[in-house]
Amino acid sequence: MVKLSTKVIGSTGIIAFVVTLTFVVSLKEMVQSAFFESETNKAELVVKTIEPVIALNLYLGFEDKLFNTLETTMRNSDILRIEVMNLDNKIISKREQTRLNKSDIESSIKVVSTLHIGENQENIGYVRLYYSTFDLSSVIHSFDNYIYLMLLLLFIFLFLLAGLLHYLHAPLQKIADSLMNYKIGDTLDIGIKNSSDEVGLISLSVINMSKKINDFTSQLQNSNTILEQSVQDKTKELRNQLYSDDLTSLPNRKKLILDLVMIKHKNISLINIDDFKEINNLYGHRAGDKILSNFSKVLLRVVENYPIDIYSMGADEFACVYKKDEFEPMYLYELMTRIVYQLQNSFVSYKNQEIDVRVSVGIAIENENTTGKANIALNKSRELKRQIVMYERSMGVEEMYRENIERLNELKEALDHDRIVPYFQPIVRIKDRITTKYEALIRLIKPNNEVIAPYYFLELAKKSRLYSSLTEIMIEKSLKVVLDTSYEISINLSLQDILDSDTMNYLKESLERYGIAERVTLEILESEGIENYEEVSHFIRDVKTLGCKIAIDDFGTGYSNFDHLIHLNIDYLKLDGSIIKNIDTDENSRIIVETMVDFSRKFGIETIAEFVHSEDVLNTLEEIGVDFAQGYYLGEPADKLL
Amino acid sequence: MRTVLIVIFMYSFLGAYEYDKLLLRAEAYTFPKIVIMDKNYRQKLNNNSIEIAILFEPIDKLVAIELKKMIKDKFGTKISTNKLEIQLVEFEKLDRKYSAYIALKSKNGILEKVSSKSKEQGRIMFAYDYQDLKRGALVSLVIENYTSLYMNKIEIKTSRIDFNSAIFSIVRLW
Repeated sequence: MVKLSTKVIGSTGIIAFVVTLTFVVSLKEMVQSAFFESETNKAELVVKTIEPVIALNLYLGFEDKLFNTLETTMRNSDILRIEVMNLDNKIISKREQTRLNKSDIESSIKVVSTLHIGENQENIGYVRLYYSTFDLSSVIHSFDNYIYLMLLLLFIFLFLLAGLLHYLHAPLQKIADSLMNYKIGDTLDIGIKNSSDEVGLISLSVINMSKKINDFTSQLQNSNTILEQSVQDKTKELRNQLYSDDLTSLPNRKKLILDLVMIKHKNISLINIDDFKEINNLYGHRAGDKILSNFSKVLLRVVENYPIDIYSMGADEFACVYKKDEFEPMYLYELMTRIVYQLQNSFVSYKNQEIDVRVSVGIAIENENTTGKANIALNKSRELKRQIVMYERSMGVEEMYRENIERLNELKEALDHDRIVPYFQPIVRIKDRITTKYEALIRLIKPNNEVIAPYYFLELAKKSRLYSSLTEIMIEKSLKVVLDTSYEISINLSLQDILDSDTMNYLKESLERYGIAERVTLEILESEGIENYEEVSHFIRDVKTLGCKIAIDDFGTGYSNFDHLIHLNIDYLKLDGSIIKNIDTDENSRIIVETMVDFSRKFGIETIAEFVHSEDVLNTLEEIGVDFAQGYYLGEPADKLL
Repeated sequence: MRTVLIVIFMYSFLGAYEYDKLLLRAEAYTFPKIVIMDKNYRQKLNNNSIEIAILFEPIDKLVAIELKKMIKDKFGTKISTNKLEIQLVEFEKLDRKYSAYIALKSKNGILEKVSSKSKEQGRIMFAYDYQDLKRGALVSLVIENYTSLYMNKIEIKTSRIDFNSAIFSIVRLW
């Protein structure tokens, strides 16, 4: 860091030095020049003065007088030499100072004048005078001494100035030092506030400023404290909101997961209200919420004497966590049995009505995946229709869950990487053995190119909201493949698809986009047609207006009402493989198929036999009069049209 | 023999002006130069010449001739850019104007008369003998330690001769 005083001194010094030097040197030059001119003038004057006398003496031939004149002139010690020359420049007379150096002559001022005489100013010779520059040299020397003196004085001045500046800046340095070490909250003491000059004013101002800073900081700290408190309160409120259920104010699932970490002997008893859906349907959702709230209060009251925490798991499910570190599993089982008994003997009321509430309980005392295992136990209790079930490893569903999660991940990955594809199995017209249609069958291609059948992932997809994506992919890819062919294509639709308005809209939009609706057959399972007649009927009417055909798949496995089938206005019946596979050997199967074929033919419905595995079966089908056949004998599902 | 010696003695006594040859030579070399120190000397030319008359007593004829010869030897027929002529004129026979006069020694009264005339004419009267300055001559030469020109300061004032001022730096005023 360069001090201010140093900068001032430095810059002042440089400027002063340059100015002084420039001034003095210029002055010296001027004086030297002026002095030289003056000396030259003197020399010329001397020459002018003696010139007439010399000229006359020379003219008159008074050599002695001439000599005398020169001698007299040489009394001037400034005159080093005088020479009188004739017109040929030959020296006639000369006088010079004694002890004359060559350097004196060389450095002297030389003045030459022509000697004239008479009115004609006739030239009779020359006089040359050498005038000493000793005085000039003395002046120059004096000047140099003067310069050195000036510089010395300048140096002394700067030195004193530096001292003065240092003295004047010392208080400022003191102030700077005080401020450097200043921390907020400190009392600033500079110690020069009594000075009445600007430094004192600065000092006083800085002290006042530090006081104001301290006051402000104090206020700020107070505000921060208040703010911190507010933030804490708000955080607590938000935390409560995050970890509590809005309806019952009980801690929620997130809180349960947090709390479980701290519990040594982890355990969860899940209490689920049986048939709460019916209660909702009966009383309405708003009443259902109120009932849940009242139930939670009853539950809290029942467990208040036990070391149990209650959590709301959402909807109609609650969790109890026994907080003791050591206990026997059977003790917890018996405890929960007592609690359930008390629950069911307590009244859950709504608008002065007693609501009969039954519960199922699944208990898990496991340190890993406690919640999942409690769920398994709960599901088991419903399955076995036992009120309380404790999780055992032998239940085996844990493995199933794990597998399901793995499959679901595979399915998601396949969707992300476009590895859900249709495989096409030919449907052959029996009379001429010509393939006229294909059925699109969904496949999942693993990263190692292994082809996975739908049973592996389809049910999972239905439960996991990925199902609609699968349907849409199948629609798009199937239509695209047959677009530039003359083949018809069969696409399978489930009830879930039919009831999904987005999927239906996508189907209609695709049919319109590709413009081949008349070559599209939509296959619906017989069982789903039976169970959801109205929805399926409405759907069929819709798609038939677009030109699509409808096939009932796996026909023969359900308990179809033929009247319903007729009114559905279907185009094909696909005879289930179970009644086709033995048709060539089993008379009963043949009779059943014959009956179905007759029925269908009467109503203009064509029949398609599935699972045709041999020529004998195919021939039998031909005898019976089945219209189409599909099976491994005729063609396996492949990724391309054959 | 005695008569001869007496004649020679008397001649010598009668013609007892001794002329210093050195002084004569110095005056021969100097006086003509001084003539052109007169600013108006051109107005005093005779036939475009500087005509100097050497005035002498008959007894000094030889001296006059010698003086003339000295002048001629020194200057020839020209001085500066002007023609120079030297005339020998006895004091008694001076009957016209010359550019300047050089007076050798003379009897009393003679020099005064010719000096007065020369003064009227505005001509310079040089005197061989500087003592003649008090007899009205204007300029004379003396060889002392140095060769010195003397001028009659009274005559300078009253004469109509306008000298180049430079000359006053070397002359002595008598």
